[in-house]
Amino acid sequence: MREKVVITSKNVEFLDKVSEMSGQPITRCDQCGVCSGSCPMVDEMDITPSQMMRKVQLGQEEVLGTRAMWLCASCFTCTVRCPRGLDLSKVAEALRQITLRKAVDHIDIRKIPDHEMKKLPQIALISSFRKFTG
Amino acid sequence: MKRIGVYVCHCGGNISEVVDVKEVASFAEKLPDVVMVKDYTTMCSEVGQKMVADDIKEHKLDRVVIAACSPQFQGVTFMRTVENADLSPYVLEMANIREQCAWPHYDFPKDATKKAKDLTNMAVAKARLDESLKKIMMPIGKRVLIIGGGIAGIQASLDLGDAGFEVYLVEKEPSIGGKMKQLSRTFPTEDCASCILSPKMADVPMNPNIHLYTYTEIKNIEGFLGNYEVTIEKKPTYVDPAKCTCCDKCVDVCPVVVPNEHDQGLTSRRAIYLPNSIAVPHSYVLDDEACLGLFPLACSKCRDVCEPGAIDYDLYPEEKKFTVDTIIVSTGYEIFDATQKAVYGFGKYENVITALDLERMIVYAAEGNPLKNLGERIAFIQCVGSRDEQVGNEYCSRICCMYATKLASLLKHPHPERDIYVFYTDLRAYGKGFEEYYKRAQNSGIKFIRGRVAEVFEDSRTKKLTLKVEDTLTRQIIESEFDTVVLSVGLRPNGGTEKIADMLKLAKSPDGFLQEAHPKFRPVDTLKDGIFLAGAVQGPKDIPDTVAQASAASARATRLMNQGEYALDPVMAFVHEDRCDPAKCGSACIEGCPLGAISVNGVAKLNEAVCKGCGSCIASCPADALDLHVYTNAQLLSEVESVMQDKKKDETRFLIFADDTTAYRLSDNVGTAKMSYSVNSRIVRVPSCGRITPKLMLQSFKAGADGILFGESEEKSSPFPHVISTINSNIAKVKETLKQKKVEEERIRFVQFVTVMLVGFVNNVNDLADFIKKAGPIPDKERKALI
Amino acid sequence: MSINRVPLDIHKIKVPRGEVHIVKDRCKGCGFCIEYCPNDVLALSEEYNTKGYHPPEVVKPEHCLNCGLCELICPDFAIWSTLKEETEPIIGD
Repeated sequence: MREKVVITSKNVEFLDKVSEMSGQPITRCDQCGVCSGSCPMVDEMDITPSQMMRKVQLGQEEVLGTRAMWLCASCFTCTVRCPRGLDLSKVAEALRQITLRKAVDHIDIRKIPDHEMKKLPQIALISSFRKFTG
Repeated sequence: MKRIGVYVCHCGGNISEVVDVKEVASFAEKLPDVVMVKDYTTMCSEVGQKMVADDIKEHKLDRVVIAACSPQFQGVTFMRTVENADLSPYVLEMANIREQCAWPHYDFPKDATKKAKDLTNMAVAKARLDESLKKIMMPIGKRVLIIGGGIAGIQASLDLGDAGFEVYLVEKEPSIGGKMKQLSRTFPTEDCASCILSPKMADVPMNPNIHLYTYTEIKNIEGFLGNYEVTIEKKPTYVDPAKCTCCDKCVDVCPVVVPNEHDQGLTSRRAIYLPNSIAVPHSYVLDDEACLGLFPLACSKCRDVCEPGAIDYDLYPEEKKFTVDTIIVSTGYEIFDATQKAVYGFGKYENVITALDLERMIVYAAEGNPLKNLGERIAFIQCVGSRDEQVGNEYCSRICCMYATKLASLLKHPHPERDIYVFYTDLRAYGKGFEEYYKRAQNSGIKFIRGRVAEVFEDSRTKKLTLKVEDTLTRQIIESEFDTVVLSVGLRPNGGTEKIADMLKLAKSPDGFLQEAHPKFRPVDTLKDGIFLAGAVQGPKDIPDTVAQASAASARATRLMNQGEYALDPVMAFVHEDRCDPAKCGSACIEGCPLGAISVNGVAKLNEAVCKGCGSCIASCPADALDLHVYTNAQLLSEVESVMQDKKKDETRFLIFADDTTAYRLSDNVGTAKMSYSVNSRIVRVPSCGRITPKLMLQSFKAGADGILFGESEEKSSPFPHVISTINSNIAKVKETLKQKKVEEERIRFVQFVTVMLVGFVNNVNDLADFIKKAGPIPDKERKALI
Repeated sequence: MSINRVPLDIHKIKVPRGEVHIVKDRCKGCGFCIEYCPNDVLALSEEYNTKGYHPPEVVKPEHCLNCGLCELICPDFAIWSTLKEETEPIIGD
């Protein structure tokens, strides 16, 4: 089933928010693809860097569910080669921040069985809750 | 008794939607010396102009004021209308109530209407004191200098030579032909570049009206329209073309081997060489920098072996001077230096070449003499050095998409088994036959992939190249090996252009190419009268557009030269001889003119050919004996006083003196862009702010101005570069007085503008407006005590 | 326009190479040959000749193009070159 995309003013809100947080004029990206070709992590990414920019341009919030922005190493190779002077690492950081600020928990302490709780060392509990809770 | 006619234009709604034109008209009726007032929708139309002409006769008008658009827009039109009705064109005044009133103040219609009344009052005040001046006619001959002998220069020189003008064509290389002679074939027809260029090149020396100087550079150009004094330096080739039989024996014995520029260094030449097979003039050249030495003579093998005795080492650069009336600049382009894009490996990897290298290789391959085996898999990388902020070239070089398609086709047709890819971001096939050509290229199996190449690596054993690029249409990363990578390099202005631009004081566009006078209506003129542009010097373009511009520049030059005379701007300084007493003042005015146009012989005298009408000299005369036609002291004072009339108690108003070349044009641009600024501003047009003396500044404050902003061209693009210091010293004097009389110094400001500084203009005007609002209007007591 | 490139056809071209002959004892150390050699083939040597001067020595023999300027310019007929062979041009000649 082909999914149809609807672009509404709510999409513009998302674009404006990411533009403001990252400080980058995201509408300037002309999708040339140099960033994707340069990215050392692109082979591991589910969407390419330029695709990430495209989704933000279209205001598609589903981009927040992709892995690409987490794999960004901030190596700046894309930034120094972008012909429009855009800094993609800042855009990735903005997307990460939007996700993190949603403060979603990925682990529920009450679901851990008692015998596990007794055996697990403290440090394992502390670090895993730091990582998996919002 | 003056008889002034006033017209208020609706401008088809552009003005009347904001300003109440009927109110302005009835205000104008009450002004002294105004005998007739009308309002109409479009004054500039044929109907409107006829109305003016008829009214001049019927009402016996001797001055006309039109409150409408900017005088820089339709001023010339109305001046012609008035002239055709047998009045001097200089009794026509315009009140700019569109670009400088209705448009920027569209959100304050009441205030805009008030401002329109003030501006009309100001125009009437100036018109009242207008002199019935006649244009001054200067002679102009039929001699043209064309700088640069590429296809643009060649076309222009043939057009003008055939039309009977005397042409001096100067080219710095030993042969004319420019870049076109290096090309293999041209798009979209694939006709042979040299074959269509050769006959044109051959026509140049055969035309009796063209003086061809090759291997020659311009040393100096001074002067003005109708009188440009040119000094050129012709470098010696050391070979007499009359005696040389092109036997090639000298080449065989020359021990020096250097890269051949015609082949982009892919082949070699000797120190003595024939520039190329279609060289015009067809003559050998001895490159004295490559040669082992002429002073002292190191080798002399070429002269020893030359049978006709055509080689003479005792030659020196020859200087020549001549005078021309107009100049066409056609210095062309050079290709982007691809070593600046280190990621693509040009200069490091032997199989990465530029498009111009490939042109030369194709020429050799077509002659059955290939320079190199290009292999089976070839990739073209587009936008190298163009559309790229990282190298500082934001613009598109226009021809690369098409020349890449052409080169790809030329490589594919003889070898259909070749696998050729073009990696592009946009494929720009805008011209006649271009899209069809692109389609044929796609049909032949050339693959066009949308993605800008990120990097190129070389396999150090095989010397093959691997490209990494994202195919943005399928979102896949391509990493593939190629035998040859061709960089579609962009265009930059030719290296020699900088020197010529500085010499002639020509403005540059933001992209580095030379700027045309107006992008739509004057694409081959420059802002300097009599100097024209043709070809790639004005911006990247292909051959048809270059030839079109060359013919256009020739037509524009012909238009100026054909009548044998042209009109001089009467905006010029003059002397009130009854006030001039050199014995008393010590002739300070001589120093006051930076151009040296003033001399003293009993009284001060003006050299009209040198005077440019800036008005700098006026402030230097302690007796007020110097003045400026069309913008006299009395007129300016009257303008300022009338525009400050009817000021309410707490109202603030300030003046903006805007120079004709830049600040006035800029304020029009701001209005056209519908950007708003303080409605308390009142703009007064002056040829240059140097014209405003300290006395006039203080009189302006006294008349009611609460602030003054001076807007002038930047020094480096100003037609009067010397006025900046005059303006600064005049303002300094006034600031002293203001300080003494306890008036804030910040009420008077000076900003240097460029015509594209829209936001800068708005900010500066609003800054002053805010300051004045906070500080309040100047108190009456202090105002009266100023002067 | 300067071009930093090695032309592709450089292997097909031969230029003359010279062998430099110096009669050390005629030399009076004026240095003209060293100064004017277009390819900087010569340099002042450390050794002394019988007159007490430093004669020139050949430091870049493969760069000599047999132009003969040293021969023409020496006041004492102490240096000349003869045609040795023809080789490929050297980059940076």
